[in-house]
Amino acid sequence: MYQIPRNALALMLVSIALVILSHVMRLPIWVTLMCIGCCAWRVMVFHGRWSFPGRWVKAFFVFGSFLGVGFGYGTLLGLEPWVGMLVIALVLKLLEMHRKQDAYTVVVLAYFVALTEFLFEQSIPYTIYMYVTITVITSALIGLNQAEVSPKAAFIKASVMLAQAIPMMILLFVLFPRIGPLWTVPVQSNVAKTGVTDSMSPGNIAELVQSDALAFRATFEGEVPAYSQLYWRGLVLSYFNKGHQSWTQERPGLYGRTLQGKNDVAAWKDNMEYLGDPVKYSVIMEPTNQNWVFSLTLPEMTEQERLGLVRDFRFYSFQEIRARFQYELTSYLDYRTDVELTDFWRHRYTLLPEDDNPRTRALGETLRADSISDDDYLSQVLRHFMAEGFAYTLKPPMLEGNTIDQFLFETKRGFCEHFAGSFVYLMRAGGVPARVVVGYQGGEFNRRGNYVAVRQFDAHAWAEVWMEGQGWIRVDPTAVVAPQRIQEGLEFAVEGEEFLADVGLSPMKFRSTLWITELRLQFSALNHYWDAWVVGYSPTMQMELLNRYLGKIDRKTMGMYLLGGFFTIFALVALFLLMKRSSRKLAPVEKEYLRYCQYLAGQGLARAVGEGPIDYGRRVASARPDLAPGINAVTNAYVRLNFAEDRPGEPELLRKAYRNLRIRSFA
Amino acid sequence: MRQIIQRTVDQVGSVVLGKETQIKLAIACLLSEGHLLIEDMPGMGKTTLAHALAKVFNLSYNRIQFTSDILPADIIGAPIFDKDQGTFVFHEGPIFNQLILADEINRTTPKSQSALLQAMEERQVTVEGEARTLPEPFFVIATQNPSNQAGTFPLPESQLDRFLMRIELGYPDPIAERILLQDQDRRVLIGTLETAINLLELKELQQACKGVKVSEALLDYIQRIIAYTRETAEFTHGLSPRGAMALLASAKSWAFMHDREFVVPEDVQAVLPSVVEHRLREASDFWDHVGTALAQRLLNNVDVIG
Amino acid sequence: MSSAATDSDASPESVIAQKAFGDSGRSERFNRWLNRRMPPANSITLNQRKIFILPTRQGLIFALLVCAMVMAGINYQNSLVFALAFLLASLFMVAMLHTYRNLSGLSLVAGSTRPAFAGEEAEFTIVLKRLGDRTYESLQLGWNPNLMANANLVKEEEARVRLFVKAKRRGRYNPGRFLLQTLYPLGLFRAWSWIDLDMHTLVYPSPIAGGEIPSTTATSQEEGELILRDGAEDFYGLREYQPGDAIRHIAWRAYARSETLMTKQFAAYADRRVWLEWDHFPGMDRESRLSRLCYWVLQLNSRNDEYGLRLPGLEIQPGRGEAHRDGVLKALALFEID
Repeated sequence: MYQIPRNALALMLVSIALVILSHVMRLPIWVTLMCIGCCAWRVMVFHGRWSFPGRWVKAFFVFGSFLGVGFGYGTLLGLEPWVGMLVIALVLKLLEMHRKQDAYTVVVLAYFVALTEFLFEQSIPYTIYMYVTITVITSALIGLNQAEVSPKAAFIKASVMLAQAIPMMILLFVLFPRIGPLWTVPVQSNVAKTGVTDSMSPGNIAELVQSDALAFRATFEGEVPAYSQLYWRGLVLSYFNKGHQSWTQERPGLYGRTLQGKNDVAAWKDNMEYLGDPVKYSVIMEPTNQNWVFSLTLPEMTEQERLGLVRDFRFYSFQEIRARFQYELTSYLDYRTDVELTDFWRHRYTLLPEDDNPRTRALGETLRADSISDDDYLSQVLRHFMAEGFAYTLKPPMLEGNTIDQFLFETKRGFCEHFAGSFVYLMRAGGVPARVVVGYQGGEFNRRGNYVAVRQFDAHAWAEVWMEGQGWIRVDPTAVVAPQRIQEGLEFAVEGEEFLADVGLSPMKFRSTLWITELRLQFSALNHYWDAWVVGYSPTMQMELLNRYLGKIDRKTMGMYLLGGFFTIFALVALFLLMKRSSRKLAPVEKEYLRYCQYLAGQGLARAVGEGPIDYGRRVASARPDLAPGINAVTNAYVRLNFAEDRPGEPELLRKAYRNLRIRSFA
Repeated sequence: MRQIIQRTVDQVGSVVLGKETQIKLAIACLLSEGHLLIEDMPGMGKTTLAHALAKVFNLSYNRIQFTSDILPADIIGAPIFDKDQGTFVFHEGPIFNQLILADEINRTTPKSQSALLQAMEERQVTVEGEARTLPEPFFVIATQNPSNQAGTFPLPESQLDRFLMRIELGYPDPIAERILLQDQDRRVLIGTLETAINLLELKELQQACKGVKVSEALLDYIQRIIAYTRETAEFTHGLSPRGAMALLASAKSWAFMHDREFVVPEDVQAVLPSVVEHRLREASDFWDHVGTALAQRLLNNVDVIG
Repeated sequence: MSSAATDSDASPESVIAQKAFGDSGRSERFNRWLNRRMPPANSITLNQRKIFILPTRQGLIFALLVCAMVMAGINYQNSLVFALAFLLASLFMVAMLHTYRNLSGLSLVAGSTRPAFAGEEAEFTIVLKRLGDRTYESLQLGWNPNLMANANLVKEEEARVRLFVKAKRRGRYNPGRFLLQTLYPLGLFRAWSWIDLDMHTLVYPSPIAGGEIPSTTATSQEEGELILRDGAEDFYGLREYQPGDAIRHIAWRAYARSETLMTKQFAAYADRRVWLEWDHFPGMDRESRLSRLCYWVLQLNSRNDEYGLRLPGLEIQPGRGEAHRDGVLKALALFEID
């Protein structure tokens, strides 16, 4: 029976441990325990203490695991149960390694389980970890084929081979034609939705800003707009829900067609007027498992797939964003929208429940009566926020019942959603069309990467108000209460309160410590490039890149480039590997002497294989007395240079003697 | 120094006629502190050569005639009981001389052969648990009849390695033969030889031989020769490391005797047949290659230049 | 994949018994082609003309794995899955180069051979030499693909591999081409070559005990006589001193004890000198006679006796020693062959 080499087994166990470790957080605990058990069993088999499991035991394991996975995950269809079963197959195969071929199967499975890790995680540290894992798996493969295995030697060999494979890999990565999915595949299930949600009630966002997780990164072409201009619109909330006392969105496409592609037509398309200079930027969003994407107002229509422009001028993704998502947009910070508002829309944007928050309604009506115009009314409301002792805080008191009344007249301490929500309520109470906008405001500019990183604590809510002749304008009541929030960021606005109180040790807390900030910025810049160029390398990007560097090319030319480049690199690697390195380099002296022998051979006086230089010289000199002095000079020089010292000397003397010989023979 | 060597060669050559190469090889062997095996038919002047060498180099000389009934004790010596003193006294055997002629060594039993070979190797003998050092210098010239003669015990191959060189004397050429016939008895002539060198000078010469320079290129050549013997199918076994060292030491002495401070490939080639032929045996399958001697094949097939 | 290698000892001098299978594994036409492409020679350096390389079954499975990974990359639109698939695809190509490299530039030299008796295993030593700083690992070679010897050239400059092949018939034996292959490093490719180092060895007749050897000389009758004499090597006993005994043979120790002079006596078995003759085995066919003669050669040699050989048209004078024995055996091996 096949006995796997000891070191190969050790390497195999290490690689299995490494691939499973990367999955361990996603695996039920019993799978992990089973893995450990199987590995231990295999080690005992190797030592001859235990025997391989019998057929029935194996059958029991297989069925048991199937059931376990099925019940544990609730389904057998889905990415996680599949990975679970792959892992189980891997460790069970370990217990069935009777032939060398089985060992290969284990290695192949290990490669595949390693691959599944990338379906969950794509960050740089994980990639490095997986690269090391792949190296270890490859060394296990080497171990199977090496008579004298030392794990170290196998690992070094694997590292060298992988390093030599990298140039070809890069070429394939860049040029291999990327096509869309061929069939739908199970994706990660039961993942939490993150980021802003489609309904806003007091306290929502204050909770969200406790996190320093990345929301998205935006790279600008050219100047980055001023901090206070960075209002990332994600959701427009148009309805006030009485029961929950929360603002919710209008379902995209409900009353206005959602535009797809630049050539799509809708009546409201002309309601957008772009003024001023365009701002181009590209956004890489972290997965949220929701549909909103973020843009600066006013975005231009784009050809980006999956995205549609909704009637309220925000973009919407038709599929939930489950993986990191990259899109490019152009926005105009100066714009006019809906200069004319039909009665239908006017009605919708002034709609309030019949009978809640009576005090707020009363305040609105009073103020409206005092003002001469909508504009004036807006100023009065803002003045109210400024004058009535409102405070901006991360820990607003709990509100119950008519939350807006309670906030405006009792607690007066709130976060952005309190201000935005009650402001819009007040505006509508005064008959002015208004809506809540949720998204992010600001972001941290990374000079190294020339991008703005927006994190969860940048989440924000503000308002848009429709003014006669101006259309929708942005009004941020938070800016009135806490102007630092808009100009500098959250942690400056909440001085005195603990920023990111619920997050443990975060480098974000040390934004004032210079070198930590520097280090963090460098690392995030690296991450950004990674996400933008590697993880985010999409079919569109591929086409763009190729068009930029290779001109307009079709698939066929691309294939030619791919094959040509691949075999060129392959030939270079082959050349490097197979280059003959002669065992002993001839010393210059010997080379020179061989030249002389060659010359005399041309004269019909070849040196015999075993003939020493002195004997040869003597023989040649007697055959050609005319050349005797020259031949003796060469022989003497050669013998002296090559044999009189430990190491051969400089060939100058010999070269000279040989030259003289040639000259004399010519004469 | 070198005139001394020339003088020794001339002196010995005046008695052993027409055998200058063999005399030189014998002297090279002596200078390399090795032992010499002469293989030839009886009456070819082996004894004369040994005796002449002893005389010219001023070495104490003894000849041991190996017969089938000789015992180790006959070579090494034995303790003899002294009746007056009531103790054993060690009587040194003939081996306690500087130059030993072990004549017809293959006539005796393996036991006696190995007694001699062991003494050669260790340069001392052990009797009754007591080690006795042999004189300095210690030089054994053993002679052997060609092995196909009846009633002989050929030296085992493994033991042949102990001899630095093996030479054959061969028949004298006609001129030398004529002089031999006309001239006096060789034994008388040996008596007339003059000592050409004293013990101190011999030691100095031996030291000087060791100091001859050997270049990397030459070591490469020697290693190629060794590798050839080990790799090709022509030989049953390759040259041992001891054989390799013997080749180098002999080549050094040869170079020194020819007035060079360094070894050239020709030196190696000159001593090669004497040094390697008794250490190698052709694979039985190669008996067909009649005509070319073993060493000649080596010389023809191994290139001097890397 | 034609073979499962034996993972036997991997010392530079690895030893493995081979069952001769000759050239039966290959067709006559293929053999002719091989002989044209790489004619038998005592020393062969492997180059692209002599090395064949193809993926193994594991290699094909690995290629399928890579395809599956590319599919996963496409369906999940996951760049890193693509990257991993491409890395393994490139590794596959690099593995091919490494496997090829593990044979290319390797020199094989015919080493010594050791003759065998018919029906026993003849020994062939193959010397592997490496090129410069190249290393060669996990080389497998042998005449029988199911029983391969392993060799490595990592630190060592050369490795000597001893292969044993069963020799069936008396005479000169040439085992033909042997297989040299390697799966190193990943087992995804197999590189191999069929090599003929033009090696041959002698196969002696298989020794069969039997027959009587009439002594043709007078010195001895049966086991050899025990004779007492001076020069023998083994101590036999003591007897009283007689004038004329050699003084070195006096037992001085005994004298010291007893004041009587005693002489040590030595004894030896007398030499035997035997002629091995064709006519000693009347009524047998040629091979049977040779087998019995062969037996007697070994017997006499182990007793260190002198023996000669007389065959029709051939006579070898008596002698002893290894060289003599080999000569006599060779005569027996090649008697009336070609």
